[in-house]
Amino acid sequence: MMKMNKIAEGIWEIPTGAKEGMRVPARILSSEKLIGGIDEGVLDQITNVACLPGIQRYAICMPDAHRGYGFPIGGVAAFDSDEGVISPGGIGFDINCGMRLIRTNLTVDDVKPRLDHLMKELFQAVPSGVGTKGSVRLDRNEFRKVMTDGSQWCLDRGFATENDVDHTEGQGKVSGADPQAVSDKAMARGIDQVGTLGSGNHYLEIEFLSEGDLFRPEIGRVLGIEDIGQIIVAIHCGSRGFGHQIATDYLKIFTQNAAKHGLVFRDRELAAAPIHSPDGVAYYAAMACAANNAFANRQVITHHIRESFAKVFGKPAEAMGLSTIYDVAHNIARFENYDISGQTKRLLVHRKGATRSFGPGNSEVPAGYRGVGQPVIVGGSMETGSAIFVGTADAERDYFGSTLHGSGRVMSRTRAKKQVRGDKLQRDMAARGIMVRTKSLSGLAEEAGFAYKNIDDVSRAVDDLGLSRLVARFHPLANIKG
Amino acid sequence: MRKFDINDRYTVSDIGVSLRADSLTELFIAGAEGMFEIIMGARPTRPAVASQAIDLHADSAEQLMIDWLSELLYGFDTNGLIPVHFDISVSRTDNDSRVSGTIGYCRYDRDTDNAEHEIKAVTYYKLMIQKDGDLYRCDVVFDL
Repeated sequence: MMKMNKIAEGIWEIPTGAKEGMRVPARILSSEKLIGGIDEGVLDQITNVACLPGIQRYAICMPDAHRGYGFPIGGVAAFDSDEGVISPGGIGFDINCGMRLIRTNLTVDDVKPRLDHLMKELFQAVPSGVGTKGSVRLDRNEFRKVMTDGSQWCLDRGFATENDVDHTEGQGKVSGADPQAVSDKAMARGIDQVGTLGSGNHYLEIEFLSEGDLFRPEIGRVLGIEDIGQIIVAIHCGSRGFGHQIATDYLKIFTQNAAKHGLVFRDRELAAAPIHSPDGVAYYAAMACAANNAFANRQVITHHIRESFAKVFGKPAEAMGLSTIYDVAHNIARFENYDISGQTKRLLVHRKGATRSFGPGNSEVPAGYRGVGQPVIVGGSMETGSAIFVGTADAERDYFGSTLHGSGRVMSRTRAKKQVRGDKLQRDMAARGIMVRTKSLSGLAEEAGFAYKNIDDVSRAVDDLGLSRLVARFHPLANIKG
Repeated sequence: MRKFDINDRYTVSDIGVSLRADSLTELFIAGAEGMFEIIMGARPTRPAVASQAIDLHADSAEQLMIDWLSELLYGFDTNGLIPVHFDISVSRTDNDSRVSGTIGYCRYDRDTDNAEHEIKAVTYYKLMIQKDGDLYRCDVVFDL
């Protein structure tokens, strides 16, 4: 195991001398309880990241980190926008995989009698599983508008409210998107998939707030989370085949052109290009298209959720208070300004399996939330539900405004399937009051709760570190597993 | 001779295949069969209903493996094509590797096929084609 020095409570560091070529130290943010379980591969990957040109301060691992490709999942790195690089491996294949929480005025008692009907409607309205196509039909010109405008496209087409757009990270649009940078293959993979959940660990979940799970009620009130039994809807998905193809396309280009850029990588999944090189500019433009597509994807799903609730409860969605609390990206790169050695620098912050965590007063936080900080949405397993935090000034000052994204997987899919059958898990969860619908029972077993870190341990770690403040946790009532 | 074993020893999130074959051509076919077994759970035994020519070049056999599997993934994602018959050959020189030939496909039926996994991408993770005596070996990991 690579040697880590504990430098403060919850913070470990691997110094630059630990591996040849490291330009900055690696920082592992964790807790005494979690640090012992960290995978050696994560340490190898984060120290590889620390070798990339232009990296600032340190390469960072969040408490939910686990091994990925190139960067670990739960990895954050910021690069000087003049001298640094952009890396698809620092963003992930599922560009802007993220989460959205939708509040309602409904309670568990309102929903339970109609839950079966509601789940049937949602399962029908939000296509999930392998090979699914969405109900939104787009021609190539219209799809290009999705790529450039993201959530704004949804607002223009009646799939969003102004509140939805305002309550989405960056108003649901990454500027600099250029469809010219997107391959025909990516177009073909993505054009039919807007409004679809996908597969794997993606899900749509009906959750509720239970007694004792509202930890900061004064902040909860600001976010519209205040009543015990209140129903919340969670969405976890990303840019689908569109983003996957863009990442595949540019990893190949970056690998082939590495020598031209004078770059050598320890790992081909870490392939990168200078931010201002033609390759770097093109990838950023394509990545922005995928990020906007993912914002639009979660927004169209929100529209379908509203329609389903309206149909089942026989009243308009507005009457049930269905409104977006917030929508965050977990896999993205963004240009942001930070103080580096007393100077404000423009950096390209890569967050892979990590969430932006801006504190109170930041102008990027919606006006209504600016007093408490940006909501941070964290997915647990389908057995434990989601959690909502708010960002902090400490995270902005120390860790490029970043925090965790989920519980972090600890068990392989095969091992999980050996421990429980999908049909048994479905029955067990039903007995505990959690209804699950899925196209794949085998896939359900792979996503069992025991395959993930305990969300309480991870939440406590980030709260103790001041990366974000836990506001509330939500318990699952029903889950559509992708 | 060709064989594949599906395993998840690489990362906790994803699944890969360990391939063994007595020729590069068989190794590439094993990669395709392994990938579709991960996607489908069990590969369909239906006959091919369509065929397509394929001709891919790359500067290394490893890049060609990525391109080959990514191409098949693209066909599945966009048109539901599941390869069931391979009439291909793979050749390699110092700086050019090539796969060419014809692939027979059946079509994915969402109502009856019940696919298990969506593969996002074919990764470079620990990808290396090695020759061990008469046997070619390669591990390919997929991002799920």
